[in-house]
Amino acid sequence: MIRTLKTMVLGVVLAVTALTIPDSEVQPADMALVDLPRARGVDLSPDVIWIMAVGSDARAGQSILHSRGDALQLIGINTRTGAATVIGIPRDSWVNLPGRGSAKINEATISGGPRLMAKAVSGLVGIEADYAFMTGFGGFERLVNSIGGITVRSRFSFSDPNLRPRGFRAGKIKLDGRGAHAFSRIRKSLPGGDFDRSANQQRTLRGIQARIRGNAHRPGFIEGGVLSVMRNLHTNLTPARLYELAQAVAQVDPRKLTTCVIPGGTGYVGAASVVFPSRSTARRYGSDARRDATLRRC
Amino acid sequence: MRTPRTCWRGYAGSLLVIALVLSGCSGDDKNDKSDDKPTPTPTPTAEAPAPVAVDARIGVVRGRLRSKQRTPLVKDVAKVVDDWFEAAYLAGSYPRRDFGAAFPGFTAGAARQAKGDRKFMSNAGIGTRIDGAEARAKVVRVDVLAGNKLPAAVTARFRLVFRTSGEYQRRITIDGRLFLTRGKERRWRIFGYDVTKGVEK
Repeated sequence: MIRTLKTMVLGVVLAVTALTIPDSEVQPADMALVDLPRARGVDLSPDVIWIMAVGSDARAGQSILHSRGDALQLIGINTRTGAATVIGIPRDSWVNLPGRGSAKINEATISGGPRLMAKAVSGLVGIEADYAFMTGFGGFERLVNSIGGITVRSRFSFSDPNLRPRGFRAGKIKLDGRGAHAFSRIRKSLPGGDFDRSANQQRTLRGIQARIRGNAHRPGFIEGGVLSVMRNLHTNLTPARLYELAQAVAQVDPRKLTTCVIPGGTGYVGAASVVFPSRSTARRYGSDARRDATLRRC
Repeated sequence: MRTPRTCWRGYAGSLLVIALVLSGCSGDDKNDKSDDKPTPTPTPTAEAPAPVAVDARIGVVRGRLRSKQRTPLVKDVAKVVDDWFEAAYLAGSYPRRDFGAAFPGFTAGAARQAKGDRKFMSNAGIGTRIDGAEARAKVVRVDVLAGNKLPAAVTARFRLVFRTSGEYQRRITIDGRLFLTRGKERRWRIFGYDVTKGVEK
């Protein structure tokens, strides 16, 4: 029995070897080498586009456009090179809201909607987004479910008694919409608090991009994803423009995807716990990535 | 954005890829009326084959699109794709050096990128070593994103098989996806691509 098994395994190994390792000296007549070069390209104007992704904490019946933006990521995509970058902004960052004075950045949407939020981000990083995507809890979960869930690499093992009592383990984990939501939202049990949460949101975005890229070849996948975006995210873009952006996302090379979270110190303004972001670092990120959507270092 | 890459596979691998592409030409939405059965590739013969027509059909439709809108859409998209097949690979006087007009129907930016990938996106790499290119199969499946009951964007999954003659005699398969939206003049234009090229003796 064992001998038979060994023979079978050996046969399979030899067969696979024969198919994958060409021999320049001896080439069986019933085999041929086939090269499969590949070319990819997407034309969007401008070549580098910036998207402000905002996860709103709007509850049922509240407008996601004018509720607090609790997850805030600035995403750049270079459609010529396939590079992309994500700059995370801690939600409690104490910044100047143009025309309204200093406040937490997540309050910008309450008083001025996504437009004021984009201006606040621009004031901090030096890049004004071309597009804003806003989503609430339910919309985000449905979006992740619509693409079949995602896989992330968690740096920590952590949990939350309300959002995820059984917790997340460190390492590679598969998440459905609800899990991705919890993974992106839990803060208190992370050693770096708001900063680590922002990094987890970037891991979630990386997982979403990988899922899109890995399935883009499936007939109707991108089209279905765009329909889901239209249903679950607030956007004023046309379906055609959303499709173009989706194809650009699908062509991002994961090896060229760089992520950083703006660092800073924590403290209080009155009774409010806030983050004082490193403005010089935020500006450096902006200068570094503005032209090519690539961060050289965090 | 260009990420040309080369990998090597056995002949069995190439058959698998072609089978996958063909199976990928099937709609996966039960509500769709796509009839996507793979079209067998004609067996090459010694005689010159008859001109090959494009086998174009609707693929997967996401969003609502009336049946009567589908036929003209497929026809329009297939025309754009076939124009590229002809300009980039099949037509022209071989031996041929000039591939400057190989990308009709592409946006200016996509054409610029395709020129950078011209060895894959056209016969630019072999044009001087062949004296002809004859189509063996042209297959196009049109996946549709519909918004407000109108086609907003399409993915054209395609496969072009042709055989070259002259110094460089090969059976070449170009397959992949083209991404199209409508331009200002309402014509479908190719703004992106993901294309694979296979060469067999």
